[in-house]
Amino acid sequence: MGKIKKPKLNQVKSNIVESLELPRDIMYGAVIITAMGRNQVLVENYKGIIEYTREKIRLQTKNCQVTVQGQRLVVEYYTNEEMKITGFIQGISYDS
Amino acid sequence: MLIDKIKYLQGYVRVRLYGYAPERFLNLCSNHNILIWNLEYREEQYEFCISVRGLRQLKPILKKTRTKLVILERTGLPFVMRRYRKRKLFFAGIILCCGLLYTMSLFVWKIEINGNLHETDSNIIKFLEGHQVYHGLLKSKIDCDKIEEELRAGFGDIIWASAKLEGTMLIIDVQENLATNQQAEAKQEEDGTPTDLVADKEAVIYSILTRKGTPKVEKGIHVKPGDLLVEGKNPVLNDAKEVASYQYCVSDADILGITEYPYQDSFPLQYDDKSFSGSQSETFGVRIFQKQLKIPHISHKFESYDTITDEYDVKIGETFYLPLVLIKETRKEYKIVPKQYHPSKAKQLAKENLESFCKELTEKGVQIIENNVMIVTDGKKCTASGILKVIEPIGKRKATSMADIQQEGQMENESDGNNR
Repeated sequence: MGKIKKPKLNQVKSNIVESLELPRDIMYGAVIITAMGRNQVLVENYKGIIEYTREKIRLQTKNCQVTVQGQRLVVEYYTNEEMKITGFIQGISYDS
Repeated sequence: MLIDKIKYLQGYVRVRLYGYAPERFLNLCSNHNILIWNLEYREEQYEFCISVRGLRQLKPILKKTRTKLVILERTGLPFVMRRYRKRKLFFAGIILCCGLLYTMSLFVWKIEINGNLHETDSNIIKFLEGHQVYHGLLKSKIDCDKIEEELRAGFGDIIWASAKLEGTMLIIDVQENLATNQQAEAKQEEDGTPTDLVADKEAVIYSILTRKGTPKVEKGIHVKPGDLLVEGKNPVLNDAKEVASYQYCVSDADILGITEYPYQDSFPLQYDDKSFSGSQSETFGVRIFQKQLKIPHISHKFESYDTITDEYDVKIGETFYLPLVLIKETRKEYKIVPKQYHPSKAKQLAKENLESFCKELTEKGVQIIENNVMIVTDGKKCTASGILKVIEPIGKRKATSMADIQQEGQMENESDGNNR
């Protein structure tokens, strides 16, 4: 019973979010990635850092993992809510 | 910018982290709300900045993640204070400086006056000094409302005044009545006292147009100063064509007269010219309150020189003036060289002078009709002399003399009024 109910609940939730136009980042805890030019990426709503080297930063978010690839990557600051990555960005990819 | 300042005030350290699970350490930090910035990965070690307060909370996290921490550098005020903690005089100096600044901020060090056109700044400042408002007065003793009132009362042509304190500056805005003279004239006319128009200079009447009063002159008549032009009383004749009484009025007329202006201008052909040698000496000084201290000019001694003094007010921000003025004095040497005008050049100069004189006259509303000025250059000087014939408005006001007409006339007048 529970297994059938859960997708239904999800459906209801997404319906509510859609119809009331509620912000998705709050409702789903979706990650927000703001890339400014090639040198700056601002990541909000992440859970934690999995891996960090100068060429690759892997972050855990609620639903997926986000990898920022580049050169000379530096975390300018990071708090519970957001982090700012600077450096030469070469790619942003999502892995489940 | 501001965040950097706050970080500096609170103090932060740059540390190197290494060990078993540095990533877990970072996540724990963010979960504990410990701010970390400028995180960098270097040779399998992490380097980052962390505040002093954050550093104190790290111990359990370090233990949990089995990592180690090395402090690379310390930045910020707390560390500076610690380094200089034995220098008591240094701190005393800082406190003294703050105290002095605060005390200085209690006084007015500059008075700025805006909007005055007729009254000069120094005039108003002198007036304020007379009313116990001067440079170096305690700000708490200044009553802006009172200053405004005094300014309005003290200067007739100031119709609006506003005083405000800003920093150590007292700003006074005034609005002057620009139409004072016209108004005064108008008032005189409205006054109602009958007036005549009399000639104020020797002239030949060019034209006369009377609006009120009895004209006493005609076109082409030669008048002397004091001659009556328009009388401010109209005779009232009775049936027998005798003057029964007078109606008094404020006479009003446009009278143009042809007058003569003698012109005389002469200057010697020889003159002294300042020739700057180009060498100059500079010195600096300060003025604290009213005392002036200056370094004497040592490097150069000049016989004759021009002195240029630049003064710079010392201020903090826009409005916090301090009672300190920096002075820069420059002396420029010159030599007097006797020179002589070339006759043609002298003639031109005399002509220019004459032209500027004419221009001045024209600006006053005078029309020049004849210009008989001769410019003569002899060996020693250049002389311009002659007469300018002009047309200009003449006539000034003078109270009408009340004629003592026989009692009956007045009686009649009164009865006339009653009958109406």
